[in-house]
Amino acid sequence: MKVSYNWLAEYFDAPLPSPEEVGELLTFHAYELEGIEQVGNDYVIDVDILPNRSGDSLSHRGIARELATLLDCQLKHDPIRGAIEEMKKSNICSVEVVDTELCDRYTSAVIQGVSIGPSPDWLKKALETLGQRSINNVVDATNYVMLNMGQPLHAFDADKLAGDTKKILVRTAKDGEAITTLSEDTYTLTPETLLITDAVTDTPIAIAGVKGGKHADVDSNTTNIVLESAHFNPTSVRKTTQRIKLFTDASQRFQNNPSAELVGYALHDVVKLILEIAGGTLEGGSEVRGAVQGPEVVTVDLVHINGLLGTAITVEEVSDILERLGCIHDVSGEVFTVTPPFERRDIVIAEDVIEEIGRVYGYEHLEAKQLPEIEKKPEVHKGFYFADSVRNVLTEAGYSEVYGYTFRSKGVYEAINALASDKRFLRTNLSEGLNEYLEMNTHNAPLFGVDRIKIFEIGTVFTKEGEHISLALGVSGKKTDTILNDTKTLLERTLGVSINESPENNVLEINFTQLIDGLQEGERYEPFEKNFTMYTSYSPYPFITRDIAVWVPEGTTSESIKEIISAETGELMHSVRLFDEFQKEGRVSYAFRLVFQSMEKTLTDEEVNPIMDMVYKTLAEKSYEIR
Amino acid sequence: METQKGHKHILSQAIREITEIFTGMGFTFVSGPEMTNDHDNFEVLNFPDDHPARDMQDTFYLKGGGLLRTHMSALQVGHMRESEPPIRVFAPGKVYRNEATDATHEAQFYQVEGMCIDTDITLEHLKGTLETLLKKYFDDENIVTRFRPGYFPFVEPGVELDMKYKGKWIELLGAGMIHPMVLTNGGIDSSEYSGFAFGMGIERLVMIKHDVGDVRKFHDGDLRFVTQF
Repeated sequence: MKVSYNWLAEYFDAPLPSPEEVGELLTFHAYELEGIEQVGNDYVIDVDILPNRSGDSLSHRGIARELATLLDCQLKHDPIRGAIEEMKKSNICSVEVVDTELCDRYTSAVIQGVSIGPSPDWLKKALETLGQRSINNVVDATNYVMLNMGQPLHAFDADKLAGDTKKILVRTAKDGEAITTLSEDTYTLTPETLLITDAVTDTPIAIAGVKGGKHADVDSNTTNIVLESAHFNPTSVRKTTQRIKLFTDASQRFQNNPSAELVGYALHDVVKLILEIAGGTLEGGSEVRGAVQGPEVVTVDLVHINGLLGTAITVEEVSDILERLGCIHDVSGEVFTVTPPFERRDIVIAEDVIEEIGRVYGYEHLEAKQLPEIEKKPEVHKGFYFADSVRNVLTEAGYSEVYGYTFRSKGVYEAINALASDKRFLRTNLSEGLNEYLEMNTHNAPLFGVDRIKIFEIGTVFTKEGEHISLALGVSGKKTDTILNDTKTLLERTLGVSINESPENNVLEINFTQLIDGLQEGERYEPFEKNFTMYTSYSPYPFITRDIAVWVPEGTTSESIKEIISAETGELMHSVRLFDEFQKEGRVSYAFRLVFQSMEKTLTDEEVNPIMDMVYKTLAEKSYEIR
Repeated sequence: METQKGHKHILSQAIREITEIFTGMGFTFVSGPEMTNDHDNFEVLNFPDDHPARDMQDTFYLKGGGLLRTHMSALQVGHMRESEPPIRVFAPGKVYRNEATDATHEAQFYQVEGMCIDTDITLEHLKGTLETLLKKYFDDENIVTRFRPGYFPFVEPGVELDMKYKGKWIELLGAGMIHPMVLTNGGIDSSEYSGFAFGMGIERLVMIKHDVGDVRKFHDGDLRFVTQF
């Protein structure tokens, strides 16, 4: 949620610490911070409120209250504390709620004779600083109070409701019933959706807790309004938004179950603000109230607190923190009976209170403590033991390991919500993927200094029988069966087991889960070397290869020739590799493969040819014969 | 001719290193299925049905029921039921999130879950265990860590852990003290035992240690990446 620093500051007598310090306090004691941005003479602090605190903290008041706890001070005024004047019963608009499970509190107020117009500058600025659009004074007032208190509100044009006496009916939708919203989108609804309707004409005027309808919207000609402040069932609102895929500031708040106590305070404040900035007179209000949940009373003791946090906090310190949090509490010896403030619906069990104490006390006070020694010794994981061992054998034999993608275009198990149409299924084998990786890497074989690509993967596959671990080896080029069968023999010998599967299309795929079934793992995993290699990005551009063969006198090493070549080739050379060698009549022939590649562009023959000419020239000058 | 050894994928190497460190601290390597269900992945971990906490993890649901595990925490309760405290386990494995891929997001990635349950386990043990793990993995005695408040339904208190590495604070992982309801679901008496749990992205660790800028390179089968390590 985006909050204004200046708006928060209005809650305090003393000046607030700097925006950065406020951000830091919130980060280390309460929420996550997305960022701080200067907007005019204000700062917008973007606070990520997670679900546990979304019931109380999606509001300036909520975040100011949190700051007051952390700064150990009082709020100058708290809009959700104290008694509020009861409204006289409205003669114009009544309310009926059919199902109080879905709406346990609905209040309304009628204001007559408002003048719709632009909002005063302070209000426009407050909304626009937070990136909200100013619409008109009445609508802005409802948004302002929501951003301040966390209670969504709505204003209807009273004259667009039928009859001399109006009636609002809160009921679920009829199957196929449609509503057009303020933004002119039409939704066809199912009976699970809760609606606010005009009871006289049986017309929907809002999707409860989500969005207002076009039918009774406030426009420039509106003079009489009905204000709504209500509490809706969080699960019902959540299911509605998911069903119709409409997510609003209101639905975000309602689905996180703010306290139903906010309803009265918010209605009071929004009436007051509208009378101030849009004029008119309050005619009266209505209220339907079902069984509203009250706060939980939680018992927690000091041993439990310190036992979970690892701290040595005293009874007095706990008492002080609970006080700062606004929790009413009794202490009996070391046992605390805690009643959280009504808006903190997330504090339900002892551990919730312990978290509150821990974060206010400050996690920076925690030491890093090692676990005690225990008698129980760790066991070796059979699957990992053999996977690790097979990796050692295969890499020794020249195979490199790939980690492939689980999602493929064919399979047995299909994702309902796939990322792409060719990634709808879970793989049934590793072979298909491995063949693609073989082909892709074969193009780059010269870069790896190999004549053929040898790769393997160990991973989960999903077949009709369920999931199991598979091992697949792939080799590029011709006569791959021979190579794969040699490796198969190597694996059989190392593991002491026989492998039933045979190579097919350049790949040998083995049911690894089955293979190791009857085997006995060792007492410890095989040794390994720690890897600290830093990654370097590779060129995205194609490379060019050149082969060169040269006759040298017997006794001349290939290394010395390689050095001569390397000295002439410069930074465009990726690598040089000896790929052939034979002796004849007192001379040796060395054949090298040179690979050229640029980090900046696609190389052309025009760039490589002069380099090769220099190589030929230098070798010739040393009296070596180029073949 | 010049013949070459192959390369183990860096994720395999990292998992091997992590395994060594955890084993040294008395933790046992455990594993479980990638295809699981709502009950194991969410319900027993105190994610109520139709609760906004469900939005924190975009899930791949499978036709005919079931889902792909979104976190290695899906193993927690099953393991609690199979064993008795003291419990020290770690579980590296592949998890899935239904999110668009970019340089820092992948729909499939590896996580390692750590879980310790005993009498008198505190948040300070969590901090100590994670610091040891990180110091050894990064081979850097100067690493320090800090907690921030965090929220995951299956821990209470919940924390985020940052690590100061080469002079910079880096957000690393989520953790906390196992929620009493989760312990109860695992058949463990929460008035007698407490425990911590944490979950950490393995690619993320590797990216920091080896300076890899793009998470997609781990899973694209390209040997230009694999053979560097």
